[in-house]
Amino acid sequence: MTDLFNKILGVLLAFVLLAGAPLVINTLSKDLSMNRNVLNEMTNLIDVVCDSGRLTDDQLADFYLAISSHGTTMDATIKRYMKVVNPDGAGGMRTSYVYTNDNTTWNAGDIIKVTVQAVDYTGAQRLQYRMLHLSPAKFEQTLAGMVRK
Amino acid sequence: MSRFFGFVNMMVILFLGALLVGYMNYIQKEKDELERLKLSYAADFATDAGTMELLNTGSLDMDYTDQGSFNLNPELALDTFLSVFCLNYDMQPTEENKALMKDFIPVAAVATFDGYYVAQHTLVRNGGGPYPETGASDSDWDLAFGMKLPYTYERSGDTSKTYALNMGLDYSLVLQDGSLTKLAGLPPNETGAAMSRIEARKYINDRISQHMAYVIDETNRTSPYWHNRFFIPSQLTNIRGVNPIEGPSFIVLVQGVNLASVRPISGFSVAGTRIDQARMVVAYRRPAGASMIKYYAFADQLPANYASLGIALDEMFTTPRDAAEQGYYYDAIMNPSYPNVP
Repeated sequence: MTDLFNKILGVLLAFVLLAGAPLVINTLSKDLSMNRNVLNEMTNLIDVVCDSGRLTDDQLADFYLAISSHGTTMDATIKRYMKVVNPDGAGGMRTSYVYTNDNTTWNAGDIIKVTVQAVDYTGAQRLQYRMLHLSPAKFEQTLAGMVRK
Repeated sequence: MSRFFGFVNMMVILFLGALLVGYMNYIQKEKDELERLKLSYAADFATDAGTMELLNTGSLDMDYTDQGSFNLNPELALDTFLSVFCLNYDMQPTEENKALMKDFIPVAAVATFDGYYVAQHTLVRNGGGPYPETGASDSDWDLAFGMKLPYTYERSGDTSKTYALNMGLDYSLVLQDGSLTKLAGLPPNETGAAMSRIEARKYINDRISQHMAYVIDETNRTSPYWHNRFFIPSQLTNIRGVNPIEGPSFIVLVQGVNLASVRPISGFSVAGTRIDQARMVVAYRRPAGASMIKYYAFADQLPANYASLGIALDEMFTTPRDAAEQGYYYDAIMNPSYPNVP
C-alpha cells in the first residue's frame, strides 16, 4: 500500500520538478529582462527630452507603446518641474522646482520626472503567489533628469 | 521496493526545497540588480545636471588671453545634484530630503581649471562642548566643500621646487624658496625631459583620485566591511586616449543607499564637460532686391565693410542650427567654397 502511495507522490513531485522548475526559471529571467528594458526606455525618453528640450506627442505615444511591450501593461506619468530662481531677500537666491502642467515646452534647468507603474502582475509574480502565497510589489520606478538645452 | 521509492521521494523533496530557496534568492538578486542599475542611472542624471549647473553660473570669468581658464562654484553643482537625485527617488527636493541624501555621499569632487574642491562630511557646528559629541553638547555634521587645492607636482629628484599644474596645460606655476613664478609650458618630468600633456593629465587625475580615496578610507575607517579600493582610471578608452578629467568635472560617489533596496548599495559617477572654442555664427539681414532677407554666416566670413553693403546685424549664435531655428538662412555668397549651382 505504501508503495503505491510513494509511487503517486513520486510522479507528482517529478512533475513539479520537471515542469515547475523550468517554468519558474523562465518567468523569472523574463521578468528581469523586462524590468531592465523598461528602465532603459525611461532613460531613453529622459535623454531625448534633456538633449532636445522638447517632448512631442509622437515621442509620448512611442514611449507609452514601448513600456507596455515588454511583458506587462505599464502606465507612465511624466512630470515637468520648472526651475524658478528668486531672490531670497538676503542677498542670495533660492532655487525651487515648480510642478507645471505644460510639458510641451522645456527650458534649460527644468527637471523631467518619469514614473512607470505596472498595471498588471507579471507571470513570475503570479507563480510566486500560487506557490508561496506571497504578493510581491508591482513594478514601479522613477527616474529624473535635467534639461540641458 | 517501497524503501527505494521513499528514498527517491525524500531526495525529490530536498530538490524542491532547494528550488524554493534558489527561487527566493533569485528574486532578491533580481531586485538588487535592478536597484543597482537604477542607482547608476540616477547618479548619472544627477551628476549631469550638476555639471550643467556648474557651467550655467553666468560668469565663468573666461578670457581670450588665458585659454581654458574658468571659474566654477562647487556648491551649486552639489545642490543641483541633490535636487535631481531626490526626484529620482520620488522625493521632493526639500532641505530635509537633501540632508538625507547627503548622508549617502561620503565624498564628492569638483575639478576646475587650476585646482579642485573635495566635499566631505565635516563638523559645521559644535554646540559649545568639546569635540566628541555628547548629549549635552550637540554638534552638526554636513557635507561641505573645503578649500580649493592646487594640482601640485613635485619631482622626486628635486623637492626644492613645487609645481602647480592646470588644465590649460599652457603654463604652470613654480614655488621655490617662498617665491611663486610662472613657467611657460609644462615642468620637467621624473626623467628630466619635458612633461607631455598626457603625463600632466595623469598627475591631475592621480591627485584628485588619491585625495578622494583618502577621504573615503577616513570615512570608512571604523567600518569592518570596507574592502574596496577607489580610483579614477587615467584612461577610459585606448582608442582616443580620453582622460576622464581634462575639463571641468564633477565626481560623486554614492555609497550605502538603502532607499529602495533591503541591502545598501553603492554607485559612482563622473560627469565631465569640455571648454571648447566655438566658431560663432552671426545672423543678419541683407538687402536682396527691395526686401531684407534673414541670413547667417560664420563671423569670420563676414567682410569688414559689411555696413556699406547694407547688412544689418541681429544676433550671434554658437551653431548654425541655432541660427536656422530662429529663421535665418545660410548665406552662400559669404562662403567662397560653397559649390555654385549653375
